[in-house]
Amino acid sequence: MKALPPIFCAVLTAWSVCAAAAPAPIAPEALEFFENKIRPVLAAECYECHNARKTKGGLRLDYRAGWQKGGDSGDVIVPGDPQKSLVIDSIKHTDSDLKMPDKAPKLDDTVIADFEKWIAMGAPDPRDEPPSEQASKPTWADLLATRRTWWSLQPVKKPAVPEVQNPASAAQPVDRFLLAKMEAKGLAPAAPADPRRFIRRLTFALTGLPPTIEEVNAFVAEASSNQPSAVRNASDRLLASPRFGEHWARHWMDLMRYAETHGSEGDPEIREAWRYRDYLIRALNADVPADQLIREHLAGDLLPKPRINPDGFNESILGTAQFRLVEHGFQPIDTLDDQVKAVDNQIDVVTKAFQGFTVSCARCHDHKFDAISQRDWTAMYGIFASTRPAQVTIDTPEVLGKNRPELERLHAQIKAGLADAWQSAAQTIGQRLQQAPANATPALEAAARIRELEQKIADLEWNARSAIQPANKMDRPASTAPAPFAVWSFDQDASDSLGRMRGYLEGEAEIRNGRLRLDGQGAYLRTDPIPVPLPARTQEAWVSPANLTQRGGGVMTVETTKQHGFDSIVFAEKEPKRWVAGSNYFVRSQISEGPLETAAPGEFVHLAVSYGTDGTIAIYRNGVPYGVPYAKGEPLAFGSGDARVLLGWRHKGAGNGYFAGEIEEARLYDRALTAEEIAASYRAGPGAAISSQQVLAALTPAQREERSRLTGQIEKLRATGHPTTNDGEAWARALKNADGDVTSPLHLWAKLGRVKDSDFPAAWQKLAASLRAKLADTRQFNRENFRPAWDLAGDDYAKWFPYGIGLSKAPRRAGEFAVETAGDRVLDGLAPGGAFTASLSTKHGGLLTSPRFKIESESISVRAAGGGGAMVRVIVDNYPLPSNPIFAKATLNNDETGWVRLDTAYRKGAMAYLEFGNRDDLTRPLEDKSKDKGKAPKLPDGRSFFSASAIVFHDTKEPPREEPLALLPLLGGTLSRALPSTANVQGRAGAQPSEPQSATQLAELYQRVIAEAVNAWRDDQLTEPQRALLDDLVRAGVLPVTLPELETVRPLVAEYRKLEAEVAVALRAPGVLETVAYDAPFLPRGDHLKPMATVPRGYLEVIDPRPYQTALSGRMELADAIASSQNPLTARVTVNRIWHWLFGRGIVPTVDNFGRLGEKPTHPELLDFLAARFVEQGWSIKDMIRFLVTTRAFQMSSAPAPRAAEVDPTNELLSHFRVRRLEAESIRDALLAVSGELLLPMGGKSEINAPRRSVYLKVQRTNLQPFLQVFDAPKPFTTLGRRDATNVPAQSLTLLNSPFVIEQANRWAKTLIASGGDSPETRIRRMFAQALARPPGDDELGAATEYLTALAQDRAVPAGRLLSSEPVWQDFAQSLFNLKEFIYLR
Amino acid sequence: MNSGLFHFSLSRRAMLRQCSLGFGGLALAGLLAEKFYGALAHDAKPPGPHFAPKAKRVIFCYMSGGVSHVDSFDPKPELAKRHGQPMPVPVRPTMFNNNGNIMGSPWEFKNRGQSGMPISELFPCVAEHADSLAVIRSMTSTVNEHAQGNYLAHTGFPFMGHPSAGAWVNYGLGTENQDLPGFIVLQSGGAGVPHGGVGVYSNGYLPGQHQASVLKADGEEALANIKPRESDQLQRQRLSFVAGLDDKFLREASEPQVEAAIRNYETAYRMQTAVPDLCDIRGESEATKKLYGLDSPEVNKAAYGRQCLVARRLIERGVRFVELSCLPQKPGAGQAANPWDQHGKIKEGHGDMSRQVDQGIGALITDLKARGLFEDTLILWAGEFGRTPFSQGSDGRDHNPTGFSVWLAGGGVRGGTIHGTTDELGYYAIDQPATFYDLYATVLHLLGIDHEKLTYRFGGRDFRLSDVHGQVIRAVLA
Repeated sequence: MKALPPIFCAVLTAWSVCAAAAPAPIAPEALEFFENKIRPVLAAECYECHNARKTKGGLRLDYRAGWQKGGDSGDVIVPGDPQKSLVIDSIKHTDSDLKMPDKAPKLDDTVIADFEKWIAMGAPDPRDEPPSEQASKPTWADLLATRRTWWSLQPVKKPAVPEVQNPASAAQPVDRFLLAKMEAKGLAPAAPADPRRFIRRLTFALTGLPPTIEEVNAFVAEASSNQPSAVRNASDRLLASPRFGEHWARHWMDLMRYAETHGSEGDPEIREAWRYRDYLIRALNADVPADQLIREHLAGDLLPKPRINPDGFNESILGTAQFRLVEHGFQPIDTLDDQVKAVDNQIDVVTKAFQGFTVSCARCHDHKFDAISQRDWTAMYGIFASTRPAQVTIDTPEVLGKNRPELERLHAQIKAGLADAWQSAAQTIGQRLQQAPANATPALEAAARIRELEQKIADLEWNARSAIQPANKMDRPASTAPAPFAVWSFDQDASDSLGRMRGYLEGEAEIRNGRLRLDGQGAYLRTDPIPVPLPARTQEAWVSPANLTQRGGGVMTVETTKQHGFDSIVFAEKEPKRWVAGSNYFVRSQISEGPLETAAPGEFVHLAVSYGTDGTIAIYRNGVPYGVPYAKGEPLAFGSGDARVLLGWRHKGAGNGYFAGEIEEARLYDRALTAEEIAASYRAGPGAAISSQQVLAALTPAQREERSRLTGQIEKLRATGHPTTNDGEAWARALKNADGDVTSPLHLWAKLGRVKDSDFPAAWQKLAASLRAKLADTRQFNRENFRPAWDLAGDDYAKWFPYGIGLSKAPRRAGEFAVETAGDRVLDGLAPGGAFTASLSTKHGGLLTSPRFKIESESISVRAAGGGGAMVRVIVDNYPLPSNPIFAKATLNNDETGWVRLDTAYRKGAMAYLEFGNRDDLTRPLEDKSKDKGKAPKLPDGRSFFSASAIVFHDTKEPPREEPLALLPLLGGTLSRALPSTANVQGRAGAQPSEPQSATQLAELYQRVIAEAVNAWRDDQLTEPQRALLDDLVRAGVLPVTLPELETVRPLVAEYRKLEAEVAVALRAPGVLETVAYDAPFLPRGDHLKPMATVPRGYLEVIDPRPYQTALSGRMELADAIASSQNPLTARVTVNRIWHWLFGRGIVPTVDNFGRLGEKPTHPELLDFLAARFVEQGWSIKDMIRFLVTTRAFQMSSAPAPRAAEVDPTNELLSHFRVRRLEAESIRDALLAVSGELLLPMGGKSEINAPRRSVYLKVQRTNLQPFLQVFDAPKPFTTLGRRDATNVPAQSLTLLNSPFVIEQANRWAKTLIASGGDSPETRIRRMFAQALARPPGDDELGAATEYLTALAQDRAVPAGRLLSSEPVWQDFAQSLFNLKEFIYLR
Repeated sequence: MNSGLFHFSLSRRAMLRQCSLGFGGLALAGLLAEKFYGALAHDAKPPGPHFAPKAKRVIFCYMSGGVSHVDSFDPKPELAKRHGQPMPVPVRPTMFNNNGNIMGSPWEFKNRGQSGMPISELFPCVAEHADSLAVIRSMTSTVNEHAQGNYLAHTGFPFMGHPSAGAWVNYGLGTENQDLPGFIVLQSGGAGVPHGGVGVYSNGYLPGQHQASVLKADGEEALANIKPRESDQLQRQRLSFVAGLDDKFLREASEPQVEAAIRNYETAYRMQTAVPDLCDIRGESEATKKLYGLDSPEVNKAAYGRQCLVARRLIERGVRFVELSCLPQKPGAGQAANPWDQHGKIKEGHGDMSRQVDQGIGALITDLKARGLFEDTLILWAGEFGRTPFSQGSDGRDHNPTGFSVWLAGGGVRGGTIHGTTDELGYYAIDQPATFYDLYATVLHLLGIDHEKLTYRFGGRDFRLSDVHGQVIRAVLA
């Protein structure tokens, strides 16, 4: 505190008291000045601490007499004398002990000037009376009034380009703005950069990679004649490079805290998050306007005109994946706490990234400094909290709806055909019942015995088949075709038909129709070890790629098991659509000149690669050479049992090396086939290696005898007259089961079918009464213990939110069915009314969510069915990852509808919604490794389905009891409403039947009731009891349901299956769903356990004060507010980021904070000029980059201009270019690029470790990439627009000792040695050019030669061998990696 | 070779030998005298200390998984009395929702030392130092699962991204050794990273030099990439060549960052010897090794003891903050990430775990006292939460964040203190409840730092280790 002389204080105080007693009248202008300039600042900045309640420092500033009285340290305002007024010292921060406002940034200079002026005016202050305690607390309106005047909230106005003294040196407007400031300080810009340095700078800045030697030379040549045009051309070339998007997407990912896992214990995956990364890369390469990109990030799913990718999916939706990149706690007990944190993070990221504002600071209180209230935070919270996390489908309706009309038509025809067949069957049911055996057991035993005998014959033949000698194994049309060593024909199983190597299916690989089906996502076949060394080999396969966009999948691989070596027929690894003979690190691979693959799905192509002992490798496609044969690297060598074959996987550990498609046949030969042999094999085509005749012939006499004995036994059993047909067996089994099952519709017959007519009426009465009583009891139990929540078969469906092509807008009628996609059965059963995703295809997706409700019961039961990993989950507070028992959920793994109970006791009182979802529509399916293994296997093609019809609440521990409704049509009567699924069930259509008086009449009753039900089904008028009845009979197979029984349906099903196979497997990505929105409660001090009144959804009051009126979340409105040229922040923030990424420091250095705690722009007019131009140019990022890199400023040397160091030591004025370290990804990519290892296929699933660009490495929150972390790659938790560039020894240790760096040095050395070279000097020059984009200086060349000589000496390499010494050149290569220049840009 | 590059003409070991001052004195001629780890432009001078410190460094014995307080430092006779009875108060939701009845402690408590502090049989060696401990029995946490608990217990926030306490301390005080990281996490044997990943040791938004280095106290390669893959001769040749070119680059670029990066290589070069040396305990006396249990046939005890011994060697060399990691035990115990997490078979699991850590920690205190280091070293012993007074299943205990025990010892700590109480069942902290913010406010206070003043601005906000909370727990101060 500044000490004032006591006397002086006394005088002042006396004066003050005096003044307080008799206020002088205030002139109107003075009053206006006070009201406009002073009072708002006092209210906003000072009242909080200097009021009636909190007189900090003994000082009040909320009325005149308060400051006139002074504070503990004396007088603060000396009217008329700003110099002596302590308040001025304190707001100017001249006294380090007294800086006001406390713990806040310094006030604006203009504000300070206002205070000085005001004091100089005599401090006119009309505030006579002390305000009440309440009133002296500044209101939000007061604060907002002041805070909204902050520079970044003012509209962008395009300023005129300033005049400069030396216009010749600044032709470009940007340079004028910069120069004007430099000239004001007497500075001049630095000289232009050396062209080589410039092209390295430009290439790294635009693509994150070093330029190639050729690129440098071309640029230097062009620049020597026309520098501006060379710069323009190079910029255009680099902006057009796909590498641009890869680099700038990573910048954008920094803003969006990109990660592929949710963090915390277990670090669960954010499924398909990589699609968002690829979306960014595509968008930036396509120069999607920034406002569009931002709009997509907020509401891409809601755009009326989304961007559609040529591959048939909606790009715009992918932007919303950013909402899902949040962290989540591990199975939180307090889910609301987790939600508040997650939504707060969404608010934080959105507002920092796009607005440079820290709205998250206002979670617990109004922002301390910026124009953001806690209400603003709450209004935004409502928007995001109303948005449900989900896996969304990104395909267009056209793609998803493939064959849909045809399938619908066929489905209807199949249904009609079934109805006809069932109707006919119904006519004979009476007869069938009468003929049914009294005792079904012998028939069933006979059927089982036959199956047993058939199996024995199969075993016998299999042994014989395996024993067939390879020499005479071929039965192929063309006799010239060579004999293979092993053949996988998939006629029987995954094993080599020649019996050498067993095969094992892994992942979801399966054999169907004699083909190996591979999903490209982990499915593959592996074999036993290859029993002999194969120094020469031919690998051959007939293969059909599922699509031609896939990259790097291996079709047929021979892989060594002891070290990492393989040869593989690989599709599109280095180049799209082109086959390549893949190998470990491409040591034996070469890009071929063969044609690009064009095979349509389902079309097979023949591929063969021969490997000679001399290293010659020849590829053939459809019998003709695919490019020219070549020799590269050493042949793959392995000993007996040291290698194996993989089908469908490039090599073990290849993260994305899976092939998607089908293999008809694969063969391995123990020699390199000639071109003629391969052509012959192609012509001969794939074929079963062993015919059945051959097998029969191979049987020994004893085996042949055994076989005929078994065949005889089967014939005998068939001849006994037992109903051993499928149909007969089904009846026998159904009646046997019905005997003990009181819910079965056949139970009545099983019990009464043999009762004598005389005894029948009594027996009927007794049984019917007991069954009716049972039904009544069950229904009463259900009525009493369960509270109906939703009837999805009825009106309640409209209150739910169906998502996905498998779900209809209205509930489906009872009796819906799915056509089985394989096997003899046409259908499985009939679904109840409600939701059903599989009516056309189990590939169709579906996610059905309920309204938001408060959990008030101990349990919730759902009536549902499902398969393929479908689940029902109670989503509490939007927590999307439940896996613990403390979350209510269940896997739906039953084809037949039934009640499933969810235990919600733990979550009572929480807000939740119910979610039914097919496996891939779930944010977190239960993985196969869980204890559900085997019960809910993942099906190929993401096949999955569910049906749901009713939901009840209850407090009992058991779910509703199954009501034996299937009997109702036979028993007659009507039941009153019980549970939603069975509401108002009616026994039978039409009149009440009379009670049957005999078994014959009972059989007739069956006949009539079933016929009625089939008719009702045909007419879509099925009641639930009728559905239950038919469903039972269909499942039991007593109505015709198999293809052999259904002549007319059969071709329809074949056609259906063909078309269904073509249905697309939907692409999913992380996203959000709109359902119905709610306003969030205000949380005092951020405490989510003390909710107060709700705040309408909306955006920051300072930008748009209108509360949102929409019933949806309001994201669309939010997107309109942010992605707007009227928004003062968006364009400024975005161009400033571009500036930062190019120049290494923003015009506003705190790129994420344009608020008061941020730094102010060094060149505010320039910033506004750029923002305005950006909007004028349609928010084109590439245009802005081009505009900036073609400035003189970007082309300046990094050597400081004269006087720069003294006048502007921090280079704020940008008089020379800033030296900066490369970002982590660029360092890694540059190592790979220089060593020649870098692979450039784009996109796809992330890799744990691969020689690809770092942007494709997996970002796992609890296991971040160590190499990248060492070099300051961001920790993905919030927006990070400005990375650190630290200096820590771990960086040096990494570059010195990490195996990765050493490996790159080794590979670089190998490549250099392989490419020859005539002298160490030329090689040194080449290496400098590759690593540093410049030639070595003479001194450097001398030092390098000296170093190389020393290395050669140490390693005892004779001078003549120097050029081929791998260790020497590896050391030298690493020394260049260790240069600072390698990781710095200047 | 380039003769101007003198400092790579000495071998790594020779360099160390020549610098008789030891690690702290390794500043090389021609280099700036700044403290290297704190030498970045934006925080060249550490912001602290704010007042005279009582302790200069911290050893954090982190008990990942959550030690049962009612079985260790907070005796509850009532549990034995009511063993098998249902809880008399409503049970809060637990992680596994498999809540049994009240379970008495299988371990006996004895009054220890002059202060008579009761400590159970689980920690006989630590109990020897009862009069040096200040036990806080009223700790609380706001989260009930490991990952968030670990983050909260390390950073004050239950999510990733914030700096760990060790990073804050280094940021606040700077380093005392230019050749070693200021914040080291020790591991040995099968010790792993707590749930949440290495992010719990993160520098967060603080400059990267403050992040923890994970050091394997018994590993083949103690620190990632510390082991040269080539001979010293070859490495020196390369570094000399590189230094010559770098020098030229530096002259042209005249950028302080580049200069720092060059010096960084020099430090890295020295660390290649310094780090393995400090893990090399061959020079320690047999008595010392025995004290720490290195001769124990129990592999994990010996391994943990080694961490304790190396921790002492680290602080002797000026490392500011050392964190020790527990090893997983096979039967009954938790996984590598949370070895104290006995949801079942607590008797077996806690028994194993305490046998693992007790002797080493006791030895560490004894050894520090003997060497006069105890007075200015702060030992912090804590897990992320305690365990329920009722059973989980029949023989485990679930997580209990509403009341549990931690302790402090060493510089500035009033030994023999018991602070705060839980209810008679040990379920809730009822008297003087304390938070991690309070705990860290206290730790920082002992280090001479005002926790409210140790701030770092990130993304428009001034962050603190104690967030917006925290009060120094004065009762534990000497």
